[in-house]
Amino acid sequence: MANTVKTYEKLLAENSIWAANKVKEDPNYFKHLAELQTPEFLWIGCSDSRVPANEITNTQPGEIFVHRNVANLVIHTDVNLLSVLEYAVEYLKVKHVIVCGHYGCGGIKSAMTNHDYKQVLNMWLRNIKDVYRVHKTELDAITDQEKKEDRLCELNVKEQVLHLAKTSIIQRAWKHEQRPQLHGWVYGLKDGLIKPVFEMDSNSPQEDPIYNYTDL
Amino acid sequence: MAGIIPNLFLSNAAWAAAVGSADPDFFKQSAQGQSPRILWLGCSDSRVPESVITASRPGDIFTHRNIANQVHPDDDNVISVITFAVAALGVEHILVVGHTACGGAMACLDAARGGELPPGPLGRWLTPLANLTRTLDLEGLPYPEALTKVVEASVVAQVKSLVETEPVQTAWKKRDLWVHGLVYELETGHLRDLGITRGPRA
Repeated sequence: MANTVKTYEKLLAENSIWAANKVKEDPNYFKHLAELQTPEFLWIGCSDSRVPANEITNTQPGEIFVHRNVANLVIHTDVNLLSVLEYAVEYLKVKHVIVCGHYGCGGIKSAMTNHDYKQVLNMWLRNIKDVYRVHKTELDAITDQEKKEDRLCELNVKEQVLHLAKTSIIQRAWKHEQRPQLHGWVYGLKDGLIKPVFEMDSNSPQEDPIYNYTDL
Repeated sequence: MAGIIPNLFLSNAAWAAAVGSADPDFFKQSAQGQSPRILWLGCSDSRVPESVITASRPGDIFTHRNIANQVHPDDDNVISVITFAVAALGVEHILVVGHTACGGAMACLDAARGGELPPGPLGRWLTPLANLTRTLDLEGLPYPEALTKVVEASVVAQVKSLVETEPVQTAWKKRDLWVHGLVYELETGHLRDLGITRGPRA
C-alpha cells in the first residue's frame, strides 16, 4: 500500500519540478501556451504506456493533438474518436493525421486468439478480427506467430487510415482545403523507431466508390 | 511545411538514439511487456501531454485522451481502455485530468449561456457536459473563473461516472485501486489535485 501511494505522489512531485524548470528556462513559457493551441498534427495512437506520442517524436506541449485508445482503432460509429477528429480537422485545422500502431500490441495479440474477453473488450477487439479476415490469405501464410502479429499490426494501421478516409469529416476537408494528409505508422518497441507503412491524401481514391460523399 | 513529417522522423531517430545510448537495455526490456501503475484519462488538448508534464518515461502511464476528458458510461472506447488497464494490466491509480482553457468546456459554457453546440459528433459528445454546465451556479462570475468551475465540476462528475463502471467496481471487491480528480493549470504548468480521491473503502 505504501508503494502505491508513493507512485501517485511521485507523479505530482515530478510535475512540480518540471513546471519549475520550464519557468526557469523561459518565464513566459506557460503564459504563451495558455493563449492558444495550434498543433499541426492529430495523433491517433494506442493507449499502451510504452508509446507516448510526445516522447517518441520529441515534440513539446502544443504540437500534437492526441487521441489514444486500445489498438489505435478508427471505428465509424465511435463518437469519442469522431469528435476528436472533427475538432482537430475542422477547428484546429491540423495538416496531418497520424495513425500510429506498434509492434507487440496487446490488443492485436488478444484479437488473434479465440478467447472470450467478455464485453466490452469483445466488441472492441472484434474490429481487429475483421481486419484479419480481410487479409486472411496473406496472414494465414505466415507461420511465425510473432511475424504474423507484426504483419497484422501493419495491416491494422493501414485499415484504420482507410477508415479515416471514409469519414465525411476527412472527405470534406480534402474537397475544400486539400488537407489533411493521412499517415499510417508503426512504432517498434524494440528499437524505438517509427516506420511509415501507408499514406493517403486528397488525391487518393477511396477503397470503393460506395464510400464517396459527392455532395459535401 | 514540406519538411514537417521528415522532421518528425528525424526527431524520433534522435530520441531513440539518445535513449538507447543512455540506457542500452531500455528498449529490449520495454518490448517484453508493460506494467504501468497509472491510467491517465485526460484531454486530447495538445498542451496537456501526460508524459511530458509528469516527466514520465515510456512504460509509466497507460493513456486515453479525448475531447474534454469525458467518461461516458456507454462509450465502448473509454470502457475498453478502463477494462484493459484495470483488469488486464492491474493499474493502481486512475487519474481523471481536466485542464484550464479547455475548448470543450468553453463550448459547453457558451451553449449554457444561450449558444448552441455544433451539430455532428462533437456536439453529441459534449451534450452531457453541456447539460451539467447548465446546472452550475455561474452567476456573475468572470469568464475564466466560470470556465474553471465548469472544468472542476466536470472532473468531479467524470470521477463519479468512473467509479460506477464495472471494471472499477469489480476491482474494488478484490484490491486497492485509487481514482483521483485533477486539474492541470496551463498558466503555470501545475497539476492540482482536487482532493476527491476515491478508493474501495472511501
